[in-house]
Parts: sequence; C-alpha cells; structure tokens
Amino acid sequence: MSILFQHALDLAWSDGRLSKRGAILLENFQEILELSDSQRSVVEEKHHLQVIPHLIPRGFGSGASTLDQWMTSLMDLDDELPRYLVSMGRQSLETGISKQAWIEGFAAAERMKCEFEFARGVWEPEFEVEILNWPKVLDPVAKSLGLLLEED
Amino acid sequence: MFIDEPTEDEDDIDPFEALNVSTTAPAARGASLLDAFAEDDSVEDESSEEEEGEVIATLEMGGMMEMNEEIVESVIPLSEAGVNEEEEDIDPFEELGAMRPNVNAVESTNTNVNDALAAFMDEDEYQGPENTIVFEGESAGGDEPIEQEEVEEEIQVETEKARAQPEELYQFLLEGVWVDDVLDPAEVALMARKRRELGISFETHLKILKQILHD
Repeated sequence: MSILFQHALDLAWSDGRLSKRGAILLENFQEILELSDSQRSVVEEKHHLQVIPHLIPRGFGSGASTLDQWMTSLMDLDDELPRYLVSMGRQSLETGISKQAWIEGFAAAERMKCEFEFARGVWEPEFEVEILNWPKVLDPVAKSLGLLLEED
Repeated sequence: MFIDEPTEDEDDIDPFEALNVSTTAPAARGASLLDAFAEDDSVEDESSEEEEGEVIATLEMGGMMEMNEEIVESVIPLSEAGVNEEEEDIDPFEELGAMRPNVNAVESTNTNVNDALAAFMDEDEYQGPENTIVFEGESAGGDEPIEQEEVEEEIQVETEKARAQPEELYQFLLEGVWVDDVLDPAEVALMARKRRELGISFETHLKILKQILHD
C-alpha cells in the first residue's frame, strides 16, 4: 500500500514496543502523506499480522527517535526529492521494473507529490536524467523498486 | 448482204436480255446484293428472333413444336404426305404409356424463379422516398430542420469517439507491455513513439496506466 508508512511503522516498532511519542509521530506522518484512516488501517493491519508477532520486545519504544530522525531527513530533501526520484525511476527501468514495483514506487512518489517526475524517469526515454546516488532516507523506495536487496 | 451484217430487228435484241444476264458490273451487283441481304436480314431477324424465342421457350417448357399447317401444306400437301387429321391427334406419350410432362408446373416454377429474380431486381431499383430508411429520432419527412442542440450533441459524440479511438489503441498496447510483468527500455521507447504517433499526452498516458493497473 504505502511503503513509506510501512517503513515508519517498522521504525516505530523497532524495539518491539510502540511508545506514545512514536504513536504521535505516526499520526503526524499519516497527515503528511495524506493517508485516509482506511488506507492507514490496511497498512497497519498487515504490519500487526505479519511483523509484530515476530518481534522480540527489548526496549520501551526507542524506535520513536529513529522514526523522528528519518521523517526529518525526508522532509529536508525538499527540492532535491524530485531529482532523486527521477533518477531512481530511470535506474529501475534499466534494471527492469516489475508491475508491482511500478505501482509501489509511483504511489510513494505520489505521497511525496513527485509522481510526475518519477514517471518521466521511467516512461520518457528522451528525457535526460542525471544518475544520482540516492540518500539513505530513500532506501525504502529503492527497495520497493528493486534497486536494493531486502538484506541491504 | 453479208451474213455478219446486223439487221435492224437484230439491233433491237439485247443479247444480255436474251440470255437473261445482268448488265451491271459485278462489283456493283455484289454490293446491291449484299444490301438486299442486309435488308432481308433485318426484317427476318426480328421475325426469326421471335420465332426462335418461342421455340426455345417451348422446348424449355418441355412442350412440343407445332408447325403451322399452312406452312406444311405449302411445302407438301397433307393428303400427299399421307397424314390424316386423326393421326395428328395421336399423342406419342399416350401411345408409349408415359406421363406427359406437366407444362403448367414447369411454367409455375419458371414464374417462381422469375419472381425471385424480380425481387432481387426490385432491390436494385430506386424505390423512391416512400421507402427511405428512417432512423430513430429522425423525422420521416427528412426535410424538417433538426434542432441545433441535437446537431451539437452529435458533433460532440463524434469528437469524443474520434478522441477515444487512439486512447483505446494506446491502452491495448500498454496492456501488452505488462504481459511479462517487467518493463524494459525497449518497451518504453516503443510506447513513447506510439504516444507521439497517436497524439497522446504524458498526462493521458499516466491516466490510462492508472486505469489499467487499478483494474
């Protein structure tokens, strides 16, 4: 559904527990991404069923700090974000982009309001694209596009 | 007097006439004879064609040829030929014990065939305004002015149709691109070329793409 919100959930639950701060940050992030409650519930339910049962509690919700850091880094990209997304789109095409990868990548770009740039990177071969190394904060998008292995 | 000297009486006698030989030149005579044949042919053609038609029709219908008695008698008198009126009435079918072909049935079949063909002929012929096809929502008169709104609606529908066709074609191609589930640069280049050819904007491409993937 939304790979960005899914990543946010992973970070918030990283030590096996969700703190109040972490829950508030998730609420904020939902608003930033303009996710509806039903859309969020789909992502969250999947996370509760597939991820949480396998987590070993080893803290008290320290993942909130990691989530906050990541969200800040993402917001800081600002004007650079379209350039990175165009580049990631082109790189994913060159490696061979699957239908699912396109859907997820485009949805993520849409949440960040850069869907047109991402699409141009994939679908417009005449459009000259500068190949860039994407920042670590965009790793979740890179993973969904098949540019990074899950282990990485 | 010499034997060879012609007498006045002998002068009057035309040897050609006496021998019943024509005095005109052979070429001229030939031409006039040909003309005569041509005239005869034209007169005879009409009558012979009619007769021929009758004969063919009679034979086709399985009927028997009946010669005019006068013609026959002019050639050979019936009494001399040894033909009696009684003999003429003898039906060869009866004599042989066979059934006479039903001429009426054949005629009716022919009529049916002719009618069927006539029906085809009728279709080709101009039927006139009373047979003009009237479409739904159209007046039978045809001369009545169609309302401006209707015309505008029709134009709008046609414009939308014309616009929809390239989009439908593009959608078909785009669906094909995803058949193997992986998009490669060659497919993308092909789709970009098709967009140019079909006059489809990048925004429309994205709209169609969303439509395909969400379906």
